[in-house]
Amino acid sequence: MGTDSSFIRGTLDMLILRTLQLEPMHGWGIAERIEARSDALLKVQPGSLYAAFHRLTREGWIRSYWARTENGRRARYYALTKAGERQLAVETEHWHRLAAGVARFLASES
Amino acid sequence: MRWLTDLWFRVRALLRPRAMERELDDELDFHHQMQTEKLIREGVAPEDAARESRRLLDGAVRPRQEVRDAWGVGLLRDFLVDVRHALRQFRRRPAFSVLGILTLGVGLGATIGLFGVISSVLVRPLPIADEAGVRVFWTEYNWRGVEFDFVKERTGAFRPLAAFSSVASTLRGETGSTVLQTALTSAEFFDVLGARPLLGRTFRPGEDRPGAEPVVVLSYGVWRQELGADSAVVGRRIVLDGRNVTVIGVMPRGFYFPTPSYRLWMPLDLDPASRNYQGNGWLVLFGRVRDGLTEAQVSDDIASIARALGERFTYPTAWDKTRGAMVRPVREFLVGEVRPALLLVFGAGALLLLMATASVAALILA
Repeated sequence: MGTDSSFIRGTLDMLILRTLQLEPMHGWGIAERIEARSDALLKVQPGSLYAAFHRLTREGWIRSYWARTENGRRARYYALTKAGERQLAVETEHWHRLAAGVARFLASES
Repeated sequence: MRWLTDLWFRVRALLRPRAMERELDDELDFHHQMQTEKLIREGVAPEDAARESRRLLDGAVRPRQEVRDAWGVGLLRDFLVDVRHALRQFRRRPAFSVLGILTLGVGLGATIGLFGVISSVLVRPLPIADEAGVRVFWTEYNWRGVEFDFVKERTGAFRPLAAFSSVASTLRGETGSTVLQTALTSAEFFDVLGARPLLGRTFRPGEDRPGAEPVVVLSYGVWRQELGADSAVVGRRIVLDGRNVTVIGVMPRGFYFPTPSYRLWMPLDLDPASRNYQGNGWLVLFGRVRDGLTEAQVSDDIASIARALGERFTYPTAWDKTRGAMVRPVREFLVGEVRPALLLVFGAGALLLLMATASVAALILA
């Protein structure tokens, strides 16, 4: 993890789902929000981002539709599905456990 | 409904790949524009902003490749994912899954079962050597013994020629009696079929004439089930319809004629002095076409037989053997009447499978 795109795949999925939990958003907006809400610690590569959208769509966790943005541009919006909501809960839980485990491991005396 | 979105996705990817690519292009374009504007807002010169944005999109080429990879190439991986998904679904909703599996099972089972019957009746070879050469004479189960002997003398095209009919015989065993369908045959029966016995022999000339010792040829099934697969069965006496009959042979496994329900073969008693020989017709005539004959020669032979029959015998109009003289392939004789019925039943089975599939689809969508 760092400022580049070397996310663990599941982690990016989780960030996307979390972002969409607030409201439906287009790809660029999602990348912006992830960046902003992590205080620019996390940057998302567009390639991985759009690949993730398709993966998540196939899983049925998000769905997409075309709509106009506030300034009138056509954009593909993504929204969280019920299944996606459940998946987010699962992944968040996993993440907390993993993070806690790693933190404990690093804090322990060697 | 994950499978549904997934299916929809795949169908679209399969049928309308262009549309999906175009949508992706539009999406990436939008991203590029937004990124460019953002950079401009942050004070980057427009040209630089566009370049920078493009760079971030990696020329919009790499993302597309990554997306395409995410569309799920690799059939095997997809297959494994499907299997895992199926197992997960099964664990989650076992009752529903069992219902679906049963419904499909019934549909598939019926279709496969019927296909098995069809393939054995219509496609699989009969237990006859060179099936194409064996023909059955017109007016089945309607020939008298005297006519059989007459035709046998006259025909030049069919050699050998044989006759058979059908009775039920009762085999007395140690524990009880069994009724077995039996073919009564002329001595040439097995020669026409080109069938050889597994044990012992088949009939010799003259064994179908008066004064011959009563003998029987067993099917493989009767030999195993009724006589304990006795390897010394040839020469043994069994009691059929209260008469002592000598077993002379056992046919190999898989042999049957005319149908698998016939379990025994015994010689006819072609006695010119008997009323049976002269009286009502009850035989099927069939023979093997001699090698090298053309169909025209066979037809000529049949026509001349019919003429000769008309000169020798007088027939009532309803049973006139001189009319409609023809021979047909032995398979047609055996399955001719069941063929349309079988195909119909198979069609019904296929329809059942279709309905089962539709029901399961309805269940899943419900």
